[in-house]
Amino acid sequence: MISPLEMTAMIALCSFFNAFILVSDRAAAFNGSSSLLLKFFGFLLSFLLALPVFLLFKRHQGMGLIECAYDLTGKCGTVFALLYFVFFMLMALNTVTGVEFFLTSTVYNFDSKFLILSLFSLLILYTLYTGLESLGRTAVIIFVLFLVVVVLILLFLIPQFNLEYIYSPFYDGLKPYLSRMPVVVSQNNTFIPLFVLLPFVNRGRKKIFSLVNIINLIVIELLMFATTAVLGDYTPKNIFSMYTLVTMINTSKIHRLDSIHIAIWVLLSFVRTALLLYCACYCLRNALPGRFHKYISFGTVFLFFIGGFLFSSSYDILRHLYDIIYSGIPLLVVELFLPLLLLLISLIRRKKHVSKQT
Amino acid sequence: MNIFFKIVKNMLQTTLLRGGLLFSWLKNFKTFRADHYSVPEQESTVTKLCTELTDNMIIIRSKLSNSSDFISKELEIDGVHLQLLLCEGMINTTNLAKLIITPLMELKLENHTPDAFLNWTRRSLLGSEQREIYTIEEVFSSIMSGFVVLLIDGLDIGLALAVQGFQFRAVNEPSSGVNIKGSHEGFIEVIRINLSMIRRRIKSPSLVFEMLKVGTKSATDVCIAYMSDTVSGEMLKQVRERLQRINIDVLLDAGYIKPFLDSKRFSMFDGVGYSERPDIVCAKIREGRIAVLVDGTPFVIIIPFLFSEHFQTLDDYSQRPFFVFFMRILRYVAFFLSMLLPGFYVAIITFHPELLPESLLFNISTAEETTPFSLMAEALAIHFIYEIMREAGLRLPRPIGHAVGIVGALVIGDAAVMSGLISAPMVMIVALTALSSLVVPSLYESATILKFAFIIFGGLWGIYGITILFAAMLVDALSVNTYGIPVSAPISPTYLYSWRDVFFRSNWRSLSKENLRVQDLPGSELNDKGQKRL
Repeated sequence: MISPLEMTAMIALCSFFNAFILVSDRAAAFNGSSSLLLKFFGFLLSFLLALPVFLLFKRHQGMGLIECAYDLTGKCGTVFALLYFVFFMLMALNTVTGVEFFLTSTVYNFDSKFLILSLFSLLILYTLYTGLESLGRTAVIIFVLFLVVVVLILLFLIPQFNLEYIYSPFYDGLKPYLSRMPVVVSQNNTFIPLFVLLPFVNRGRKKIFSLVNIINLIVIELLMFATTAVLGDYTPKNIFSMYTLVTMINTSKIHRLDSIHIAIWVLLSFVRTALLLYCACYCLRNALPGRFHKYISFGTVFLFFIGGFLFSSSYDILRHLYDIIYSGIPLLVVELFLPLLLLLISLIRRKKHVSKQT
Repeated sequence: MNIFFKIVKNMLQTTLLRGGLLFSWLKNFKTFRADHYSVPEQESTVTKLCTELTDNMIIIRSKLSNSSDFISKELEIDGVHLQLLLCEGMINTTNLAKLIITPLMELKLENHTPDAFLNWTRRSLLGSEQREIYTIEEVFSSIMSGFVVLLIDGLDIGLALAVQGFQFRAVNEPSSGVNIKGSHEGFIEVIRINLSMIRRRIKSPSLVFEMLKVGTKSATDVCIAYMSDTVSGEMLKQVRERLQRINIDVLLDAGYIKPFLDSKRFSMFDGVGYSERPDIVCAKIREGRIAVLVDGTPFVIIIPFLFSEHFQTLDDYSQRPFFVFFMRILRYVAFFLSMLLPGFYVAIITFHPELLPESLLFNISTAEETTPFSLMAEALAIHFIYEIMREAGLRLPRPIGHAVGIVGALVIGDAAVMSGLISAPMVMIVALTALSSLVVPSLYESATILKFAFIIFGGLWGIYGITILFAAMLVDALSVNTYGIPVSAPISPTYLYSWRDVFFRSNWRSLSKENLRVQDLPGSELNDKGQKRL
């Protein structure tokens, strides 16, 4: 069992990962200032998207999404578990390919993808072996480190703020926001692990969602503000805008904080990937018979390693992966469609039960 | 992976069985191994004392094989035949004469029977401790613990009388855990004296000592110390069971049984710790922990031992809180410096030199340019040489030990730099790392191994490698659960109230308000009643 603080830290770190990368052509922001408002829209949208899940959990107290699926559909719950497994695997691959792309394109141009991915995979395998509790405790420490680093970065950047870059987010009207909604939706994929692993939280489950959203909003708005105030309209055109930002910091004693940025980002991606793969293993554990349970962690990480290597070896395949994820469809399926389906089944069952009684 | 190899092996065995070549060889190999390397079964017989004194002496002499330190004397006291047994050098001869021999010589019994003699002994005090024994094994255990044993002809009971007088070290300041303002007493090798030091400090009837014997040949006294009103019953039961299951021949040191008491999974960080100080052990016992004392060693095992406690000293509780805060932060910084500094130096100079200001970078690159080895190789070599010197300084006799310091300073500090084998900045890094590692001596083993690992990872993969290894280290440290209590508590799982004695120390008015029990820490699987949570 893990505490609400540990779950909050894990989910919050998962969401901060998205703030460190803005993929070109799919950038949520079409100008610098709009990113500030888009994040706020994302904050509101996350509550709407999660509504079916809340209603479902209200009817099935103490259960997660997978447990609800098995409870309502019986053996068909395996289909749900496998769908969620695929979703978590895609998200984990998206994360690790982003890290690998960043490291090999900006930091270690000469280094081997194989080594980077294999080190990462071994770390994830070890973390899965030690369990969710150790990951939760590690996430709390990394969360504190992350906040300290963010405060440090913001303080060092203050002399470089140019408030002229901050102008009205409605400069181009409302219409462009609507076209960017799929990206905003797809960036709010970090709550699915919470909905799956909710039974593992020992208390205070209701507060976690709101708390994570608030922390997410505050931290990412601050980071977006800093990015826009320094980079201006270059913000959406920059793949790794945060990295660009920290390379521009120049204090008298420490030249550039990009190494700190690399360290923190690798730690964030470690927590995110480990959590996603833990959820994937959890889904598989529910889907497969007991005799396979010993091999699930190793098999999942092996698949993850192979997938990561394949995706990062070919830019076209990587692009297809990003197209799928940032279309918003996978998230809508797992966070909206499937819970809605379960909710409908739950309502129908309840109606039948009531009519039987009468 | 083990399952995979087993499947392959089974497949091979099935296909080759028909040929009968490899399988039969394997079978022979297994038989060969079994014949030559089977562990002999332990004898577990208990031999009761006989009523005839001569029968008892035949058994005892045959088992002791005429050992030269074994002394036996036949006595006749008022018509009752007795045999006095003792080990030379283990008893206090003055007490033997005063407490045992003189009363026996002056004894006048009404009935000259063995029963009358036994009744007389039950009403008398013939030693600081007096107990009746019924087996040959108890006879051996008693005389080898400094007791004098009286065997009575006609009865199958013996008397063990405590008149210990073996030599032992005086109580003085412990070699580890030195402090300035607190007590300067440390434990010694004699378990009974150690127990008395704890008892003197906690004058409470709830302080309990449970004795047991560990070691099939050595029968070493081991004591479990705890406070019955504070300890977790579940944890106590597990400790007791683990100690009783230990199957070793000879127990000479607390380190022999520490792995049996620690959490099962391999980790760089321990869940149990040591202390050489009675005041620290008393403080730990008060918080619901269990202390395990082993006869023959001054180090006491404390279960569980939290990670944050490596950074606490006894002086923290007698100094001002603001100074304690500064010192604790210094210790944390020193620990991470000792582990990370060489690796970071190698990573930054090799992969991320842009992090450093130009002047510093210029000096370092000038120094490193003249050395023939890569930075990683240089760092590994110099740290390895430092470890050799440290080990040599520990093992050498004291008069020669001073020479090690001079040789080390000359070899590393001067000659190696002048000859261009290593650079001056690397010498500074080694010096700073070495000093930092001595600030938290209880974590020296983990910090040393991790230091080498960080140098390798930093040298091969830069900041990415260091981050990966740091994350692995964090996960490892935070996954250690000793008897259901997370060793990383209360840092993570976080409990802010317990932080009153982690990074800083609240004043005593606040500390004395509530006694924190270790089983009440967050993440603990033990509830108040010592039973597992659901």
